[in-house]
Amino acid sequence: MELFGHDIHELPFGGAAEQLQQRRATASLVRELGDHYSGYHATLAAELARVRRPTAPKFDGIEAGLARFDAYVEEWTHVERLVAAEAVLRACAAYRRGDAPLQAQLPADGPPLVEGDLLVSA
Amino acid sequence: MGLMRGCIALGEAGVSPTPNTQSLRTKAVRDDIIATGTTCVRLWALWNRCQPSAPAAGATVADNWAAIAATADAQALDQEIAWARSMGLVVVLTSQGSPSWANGTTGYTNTTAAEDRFGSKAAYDAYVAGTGSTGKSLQYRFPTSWSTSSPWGIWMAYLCCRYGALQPDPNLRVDYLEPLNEPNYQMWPQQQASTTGNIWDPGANTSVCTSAQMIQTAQSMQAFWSGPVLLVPAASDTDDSTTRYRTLGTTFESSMMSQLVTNGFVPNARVGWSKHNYADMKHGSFGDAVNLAWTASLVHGSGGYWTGYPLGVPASSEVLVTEGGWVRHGSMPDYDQEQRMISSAVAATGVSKVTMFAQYLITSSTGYDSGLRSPFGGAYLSYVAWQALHTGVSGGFPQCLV
Repeated sequence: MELFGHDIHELPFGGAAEQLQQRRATASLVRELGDHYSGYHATLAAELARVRRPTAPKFDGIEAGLARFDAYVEEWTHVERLVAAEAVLRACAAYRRGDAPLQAQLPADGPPLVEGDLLVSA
Repeated sequence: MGLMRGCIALGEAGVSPTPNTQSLRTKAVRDDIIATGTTCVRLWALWNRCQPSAPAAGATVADNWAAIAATADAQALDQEIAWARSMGLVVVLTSQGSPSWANGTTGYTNTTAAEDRFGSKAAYDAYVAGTGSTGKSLQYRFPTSWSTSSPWGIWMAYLCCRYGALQPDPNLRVDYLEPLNEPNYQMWPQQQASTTGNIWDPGANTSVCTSAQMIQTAQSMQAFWSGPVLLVPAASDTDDSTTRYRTLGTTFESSMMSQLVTNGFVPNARVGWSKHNYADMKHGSFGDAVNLAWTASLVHGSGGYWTGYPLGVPASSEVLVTEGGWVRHGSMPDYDQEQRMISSAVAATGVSKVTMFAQYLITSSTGYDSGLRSPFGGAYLSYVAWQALHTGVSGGFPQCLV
């Protein structure tokens, strides 16, 4: 199942969700994430606080850039997945509360996902 | 009245390997650019044409780029940019289209995903009956992935590297890069699948969220490869109500601003706000340019969030119109049409921090008659009007474009 452009079975939630992801038990995964928002949010927030926004390295010339590019992409990919995981987490929580169908859309009046390069708690 | 840059947006056919009426490689087009005093052109970077085949398994980024650069279309784009630079023009480069291998449309037919590609069920039925137009092209489907590691991310990296500050040949550097084109109108899908059982019913909007993530990817590539100034979101100013087919321009722009805030996107002096503006001409908003004024107020009234091009300061953030023009429909006398266009252009200069005004096409295409010349080559009155806006030498209009 895809939400916000990501397969929810492949996002880095950790915890009990990981086993459900491996079994591709979508309904159970949505329930687990939605019912335990705070714990999963804390894990994701701690990880983003650790890695922070990737910074582009200084390099001299295109060849030198290519040599460092893959590592930069990897760092960004990790950050993208953390932010997407927070968005999925919120969508699952809203769904479990009965506030919204399970969809790739955040509540309009909710707090931002990221502020000052840190994940924000909903 | 402030000064702003006049820009001619050339048609996408212009970057084809064979030069034509939309190409700077064609002398008549260059002559018109010079004769009208135009100082800026907008060109297209067509991903679906420049990378038509999926990279081989295990291909590196360098492999991807080499394959792109080897295509006749990418080489034609290089030539167009080189001509523009040799003429001393400012260049806006707009990315458009996705190859089928990257947007999941391989095997699609003209009726696949009809609910997202036709304006209505009636329009679709008319097409099937042979009396209506085709739906949106497959190339305009959003790519299936838009992360930094995705093929689209690699395409953005190519554009930033090849046409940015790292490009050793100054004749291949461009000033601005638009990573998207009309993500609220041209691109599809706009919404999730309907949950009602009727596929034509509305679903939750997805184009805003997707586009915002694409803008983040473009910025991360720009930062690494010292890419050109980004212009986003290049929304259509459509004033038709939101459907599965399109998202109302004002809704999209305001939602985009909110989504960028939500995502933690950090605007800076290397990211400008662009939009298309046909509405002020369509409605002939003489002297007030309501469409542009609305966007300017959105950008400047974002609670200090939009710290964009050129200084990274909210109050001085600019709005750049990268497409616009009066689309002729045949029923309006020419004189009235041209007067409306001119008035809107002049009015727009009075809107705070609008610093680029683009006219879509010199020579109209057969399907989109917004140019300064008819599809058959004859100059419209707007040709003289556009020239006057730059030079003030005819028509009695003030010189207001640079």
